[in-house]
Parts: sequence; structure tokens; C-alpha cells
Amino acid sequence: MAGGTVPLLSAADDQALLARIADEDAGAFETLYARYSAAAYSVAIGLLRDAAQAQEVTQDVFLAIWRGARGFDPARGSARTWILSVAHHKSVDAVRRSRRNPTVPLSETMTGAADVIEAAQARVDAGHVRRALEGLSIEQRAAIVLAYYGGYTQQEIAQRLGVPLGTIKTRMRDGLLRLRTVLPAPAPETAQ
Amino acid sequence: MTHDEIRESIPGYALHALAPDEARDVEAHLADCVECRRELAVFQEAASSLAAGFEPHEPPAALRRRVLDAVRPRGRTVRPGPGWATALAVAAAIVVVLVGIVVSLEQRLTGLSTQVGSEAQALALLADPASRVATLSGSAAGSVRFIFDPATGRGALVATGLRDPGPDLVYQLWLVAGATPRSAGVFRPTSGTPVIVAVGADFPRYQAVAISVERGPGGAARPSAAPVLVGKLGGG
Repeated sequence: MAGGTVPLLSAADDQALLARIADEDAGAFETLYARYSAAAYSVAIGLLRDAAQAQEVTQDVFLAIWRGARGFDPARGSARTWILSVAHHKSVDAVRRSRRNPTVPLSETMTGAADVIEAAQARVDAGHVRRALEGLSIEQRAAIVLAYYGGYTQQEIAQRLGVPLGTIKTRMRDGLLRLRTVLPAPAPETAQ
Repeated sequence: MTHDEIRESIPGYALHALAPDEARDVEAHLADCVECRRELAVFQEAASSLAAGFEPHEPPAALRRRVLDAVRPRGRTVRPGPGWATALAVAAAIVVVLVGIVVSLEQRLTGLSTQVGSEAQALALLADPASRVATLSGSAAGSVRFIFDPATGRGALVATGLRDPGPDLVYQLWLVAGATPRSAGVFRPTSGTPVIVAVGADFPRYQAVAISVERGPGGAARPSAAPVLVGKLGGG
């Protein structure tokens, strides 16, 4: 086969790595770390805005991958989706922990919902994601941006926007389905 | 919650926007519901595509080391207890770079076939002219030698005549580099036959091997008492 020196990385390759990690293959884990640590760390630092906390969360993420590799089911999504989902989950948990008992209640730190949405949306750096989000209705975008980039619960979002919880759930559902048609499914990492 | 109620919360679950108790309800339902699992896969993929929106950052190299060290249960770096000054003094004369890999034998020394393998390794090492032998000496009676081949990284401790350390106690073998003894396995003496402990390590990086008495069955993460036997590894 031509191009034999180029590492052939694919979703199947990630799956094979995870299967080896399930057998406690530290070398496979090292390869997976090389591929996904930057993606996971970027999620953590984007949400936490603190390098030390982001490192701690990233470490937790990869330890969870190491321990959970046995339970990985490719039928439920790609390795990349799983790793990024774990990274987002742990980062959001850390954001909520640090928000607990704030000296100033969150509702008083911002003048209004628009500012909170703006702050969350400012975390979107990549142009193609920004454009994809602009393709949503304002209501859908607010719900998704506050949840994913702001780390707020759907309950908090409903309260802040002053709409019923059921409405937020519907906006999240419709918004994500729409994003799915405009944002490419993330390809497996090709770095290293 | 009903299936329909759970289903409504799946997009929020994929965005990690549920309160902990709600998330637990969803998880419990997902375990039994194929339809909801399929739906979650769709929303999770869409949610994860948002990760590309964050500004890219490279994690520091030190994090990589920390993460990789954390998943390796063997060869863990430990800090010595106060009684270790003697062993370290023995090793102190030799300056050696400190990085090494230890194959801990806690999992290996369980069963006859492993013991036979260790014996074969010890015999092969004895037969090999490149092998070196370190004789351990100290307060414990017995004939204890450590045979090793610095080139291949294979080694074996061969011990005869060691006294039983006492109920619930074991001998623990350590490789010493600078101020960091690393466990290389635990063993109990058997009367009449030599005990052989196979050890794989990058021996030129270690200055000494030492044996201490620790609580069984697994031994200690770091030496809790002064070593009863010490032998030099380095050429000096």
C-alpha cells in the first residue's frame, strides 16, 4: 500500500487503541493521550479559565478513560465523542463546584441574561462553530451556548431567560439537531 | 420519570445541563432503553462537535508525565522513611541518573510456573558471562545475592537461609536510585530451597538493592523500616 510511512489514523484505529487500553496497555494509552490531550485540555481551560484547574480536570479525564475503556461501546459513538464528552462533563462539574458559595450571587454579577449569553458566547473561538451557531434561532443559540460554553443547567437557563423548563428542553433538542446538519462530525485526531 | 420525560431530557443530558439527581435518573433509564441510548448517541455527537469551538491550547509536558505515571501501578516513585539514611549513604557515593523501570513482582510471584520461570531466569543469568553479582549484607542472617545483566535489564534475587520475618510480615526488595527506593517485589523465605525473585529494571540507573521487613501480604509503598540487607549495584 502506498504511503506506508504515514500513520493511518481512523475511528477504527481509536477503537483498537481503546481495546488495548482496556487490557491495561500503557503504550496504547500514551498514544491516545498524544492524540486527544490537547482537545480535552482546550475544553477544560475554555470552561475553567484556569490552567491549574484545567490540568487537574484533564488528568481526571484521562484516568477515567483508562479505567472506563473496558466499558467503551463503539455503537454508542466514536472514541473522540466519548473523550470530549467526558472532558466537557468533568469541566462543567468543576465549574459548578467553583461557583458554589460564590461571594457574590451569580445573578448580581451580570446585569442581565444578554450579558451572560455574551460571556458564554465569547468562548467560541473557531469560526466554523461560530457560524454554525449563528445559523440557529436566537432562542436555540442562547440555550445551547449557556449550557455548553457557560456550564449552566437547563433549570438555571430557564430561570435566567424567564421561560418554562420544557421550552428550554425543546430549544436544546431542536438546536442540537440543526447543528448536526451544519457542523461536521468531529474527525479522529490526526496529530501524532 | 417516564420514558417520555426522560427522552425530553436527553439533549440536556448530552450538554451536561442536568442537575445531578436528574442525570442519575437518565442514566438509570439509559441502562435499560435501547431507543434512548440511540438518541443519546446522536445528541452527544452534536454536543461534542461544539468542543471544536474552544480556543486550542496545548497541555504542558509535565501533565503528560503525571497522567502516564498515574496509570502505571508499577515502578512508582516513593519517598524513603527516616530509617533509610543508612541505605542511602551506601548508595550516595555513586552518582547515577534517576529514571528507571521496575517490574514489580507482586503479581508475578503467585504460582509455581512463575517460580520455575524465575529459576530459569536466575540460571540463565548465572550462566551468562556478562552478568554481575551483588552480595547483600547487613543485620539479617542468610546468603543473599542479586544477579543481574545491565545490558538486558534482567535480574534475579537468590536468597537462602533467611529467617522467617514473623507472622504477617514479608521481605520487600527495593531498588535504590538517589533518594527514591522503588519496590521490586515481596517474598517470604521457604525453608530448604532458595527463594528466587525475578526483577526487570534498567540496572545502571540504580545504585543499590536493599531488603526491608514490611507488613504482608503486599508490602509497603515506601520502606517503613531500616533495611536489613543492602548490596551495591553500581560499578563503583
